[in-house]
Amino acid sequence: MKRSLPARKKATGKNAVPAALFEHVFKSMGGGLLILNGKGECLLANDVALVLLGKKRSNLINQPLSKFIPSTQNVSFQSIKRGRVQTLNGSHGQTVFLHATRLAGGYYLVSLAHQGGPSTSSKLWSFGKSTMALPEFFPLPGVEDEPNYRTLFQHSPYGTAVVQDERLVVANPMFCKLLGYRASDEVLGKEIRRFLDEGSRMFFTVLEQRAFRGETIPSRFETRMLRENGTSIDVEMTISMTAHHDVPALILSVNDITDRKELERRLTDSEGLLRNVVNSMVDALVITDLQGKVLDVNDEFERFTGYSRREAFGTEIPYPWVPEEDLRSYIGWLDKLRENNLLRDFDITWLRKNGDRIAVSLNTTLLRNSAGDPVLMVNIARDITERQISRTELSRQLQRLQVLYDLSRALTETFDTEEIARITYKQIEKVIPVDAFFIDLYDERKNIIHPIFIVDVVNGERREFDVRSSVMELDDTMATASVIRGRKPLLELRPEIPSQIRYTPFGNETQATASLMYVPMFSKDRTIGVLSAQSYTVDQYSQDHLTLLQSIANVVGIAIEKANLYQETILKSQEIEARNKELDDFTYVVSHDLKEPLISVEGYAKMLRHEYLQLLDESGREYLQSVVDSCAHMKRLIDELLQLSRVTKLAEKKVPLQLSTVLRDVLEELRFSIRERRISVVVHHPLPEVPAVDTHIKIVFRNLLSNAIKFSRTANPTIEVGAEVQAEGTRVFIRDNGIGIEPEYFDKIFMIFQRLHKRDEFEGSGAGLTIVKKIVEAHGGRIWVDSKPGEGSTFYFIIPNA
Amino acid sequence: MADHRSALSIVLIDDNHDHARILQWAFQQNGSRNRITYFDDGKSALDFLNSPACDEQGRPDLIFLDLNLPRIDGREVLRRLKGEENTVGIPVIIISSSDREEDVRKAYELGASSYVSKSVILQEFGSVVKTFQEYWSTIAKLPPRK
Repeated sequence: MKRSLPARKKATGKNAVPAALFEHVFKSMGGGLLILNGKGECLLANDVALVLLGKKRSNLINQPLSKFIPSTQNVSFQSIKRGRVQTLNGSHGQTVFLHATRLAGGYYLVSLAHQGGPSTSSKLWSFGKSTMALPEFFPLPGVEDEPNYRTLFQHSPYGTAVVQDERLVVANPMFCKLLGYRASDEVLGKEIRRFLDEGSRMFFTVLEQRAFRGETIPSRFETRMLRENGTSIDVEMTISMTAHHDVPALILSVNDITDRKELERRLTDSEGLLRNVVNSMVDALVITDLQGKVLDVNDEFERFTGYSRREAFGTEIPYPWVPEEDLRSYIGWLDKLRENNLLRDFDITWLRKNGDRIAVSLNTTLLRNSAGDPVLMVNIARDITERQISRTELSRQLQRLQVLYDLSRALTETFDTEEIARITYKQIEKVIPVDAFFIDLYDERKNIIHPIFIVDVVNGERREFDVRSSVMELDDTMATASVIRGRKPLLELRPEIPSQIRYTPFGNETQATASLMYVPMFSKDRTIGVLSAQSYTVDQYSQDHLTLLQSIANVVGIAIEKANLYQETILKSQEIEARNKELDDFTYVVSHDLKEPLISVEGYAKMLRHEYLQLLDESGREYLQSVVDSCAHMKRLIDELLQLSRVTKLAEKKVPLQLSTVLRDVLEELRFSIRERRISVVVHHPLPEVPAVDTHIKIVFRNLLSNAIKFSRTANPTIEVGAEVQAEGTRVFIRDNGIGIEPEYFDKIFMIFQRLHKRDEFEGSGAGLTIVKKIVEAHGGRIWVDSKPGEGSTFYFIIPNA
Repeated sequence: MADHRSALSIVLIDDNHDHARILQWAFQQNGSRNRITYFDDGKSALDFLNSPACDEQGRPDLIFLDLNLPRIDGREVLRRLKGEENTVGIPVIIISSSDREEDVRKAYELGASSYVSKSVILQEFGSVVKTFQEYWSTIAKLPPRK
């Protein structure tokens, strides 16, 4: 078999990449790949392709395409050769996209991709369009040989690289291209960490360690990588193990999913806001995907037709509310949408659920995403049997809907309240004549108003006031106050512009307006502020304007509340983190400082004993012994405090731990006290393996067993230890038949320095169980106790599976 | 001969006077004739070790150094000791009340010969001091550069 020249030449070099590695890399790429020869016979297939097609390798290799793709799937070698994107049903019913590129030498590289991740089509606001972007092939000129694994690797539409000792040792052109580099020289030898988004590094490290330990890792996961220009990119990554020059290495296969992520983000964010927009419409509204499947209707539709939202959802043409005789013309109407963005005033009859007929005027429009692609179809129906509406009015409604839609979409992209206000103003300008505009936020607790945005147009000149950090008390004479308290919109129309010049609360001169609208903004049932639009023109606004403004305010209210929540969450989590760290640092410093004088006391006591013991009488010696004992006790306390402060500090690695070994070691340490008290210890074997930090789990067993020993009674003392694997993780129990604990102390015993007994009854510092709890929680688990006084206690703890 | 070997000249640097006093006492416990020169801050210890007076009376055999020092921190003292031709060959034994991993690691990275927790010295002072004494009086040290 011929091999491509570069491969052989490089293979003799010092840093040669052996052909076997490419074979391995090819087989574990994140997407399916097939190589067909000119006759349509399959020469090579990787693992993902086998899974997608549900075939064994032996069923594919050297077989013609018609043998392994049934003719019912409508995919033929002829169509593949033409290079069109085709779809077929995968082995698990998923849609598989298939696309081929012609390689030099008459071979075809066929890539198979399926819709990754949870399908967005389950979302109400599906954009109806496939979210899968087919990967792009990387062209490499001049490879004339029979395809081998190296050329496949170079041609692969999936960015693929091999990582060894944290560094990239092999990378294909697509990998470099995804990350914005021109050639692989620019990335080889560099640490993989520098290509990972900061937030993804930890995640990657965890997966990497698990892969090296041979543990299972998600077959594909989403993460973010850093590009050469500093921006980051959403990718879907597959990790698998290989060896390079006999040293274990990782194969990374990455696929650009930026578009899909962006779409998903928009979908989730805009859902809540859109719902609000839709319901604020005064006309019946039906939203469908581009095929006409109903995705949502509004409240007015329910009232108007008698069909509930649940009944309407998911229905397809023919809709039950379109009578049979009108169906043909209705479909013809929708067809016109292919040429026109907006269709107006189609008179049609609708059937109510109760059989009544109503004459409606239908306006239909396409909503487009930011890329300009149509994503949704919106039908607005107005009852023309009840009232005659001017046609311009209807198109105005449509324009308003677009504004509300644009607004809610724009607002999902910011968490800054001032920015929210600015965007709102821009959108309002499009549908309402406005000379003055402001948004005030209301703080109910302090009864103050905090303006976030004020715009005033005087003599055609627009002025924006700097209102940051200004606040005013809510005064009942203000129009704002009545809107906030009354929770209702307010329309004030003055017969003429009031003549006197007024001053804003910030000392700016302003002209009074003639037409004023104020609408409240709500979050759940609280009033969070007021939005106002005003005009110098007399009788500028109608009740209709006020309704529209209220619709806008409803959207803005949610956006502002979301922004506030977001800021609050960020602040709070930072605060908690800082406080925990502070507390640990404090504990560390205090316990360390306590140690210093203790060393002195202990030292002097030692000196006394050595040099002056003869001078002391019996009680003097006793006192001295007490000093030494107290020092030892205090040292134990301090050491436990230190230990406690370090449980969260030590970011040690969790490893698979044999509980039986840990338990054996600890029992060995405690054998004297066990023998002394004649305790029989029963261990229920087998004990499973848990992912944990060795030294920490030892502390857990040591403390729990010491407790069980300490609180044992004289008659037949027994301690039982066992574990079982549950859904939540491994549950370990340590049971004694000792003195037991009153239920009211079940929680208290885990609090620091909580002792239930006098010191001379049972020795101990009181920090032991606190440390145990902190360790178990640091492993993501939990601990609790079950006990009956006089009968014994059972401590349970759960260590989650990795 | 053994007696002669085990008498060492020791420099002790510790700002805690109580600790210093106890440690000095511990050093004398073996009935040896150890000579102890004591400093309670890093600056004066460094001045002494780089002075002609020190040259005259002979370089110390061992330096016991606390990490927690005022003005010039123990780590910095250690760094300078290991950076000076005069003192690079003298074994430095860190005595600290901390047994925190970072402290221990840092000390060894800076060139400490040993690291021992103060409470260990107190528990086992006789044997610890004796061990050091025997070890460092027997072992060949880094000879001064000619």
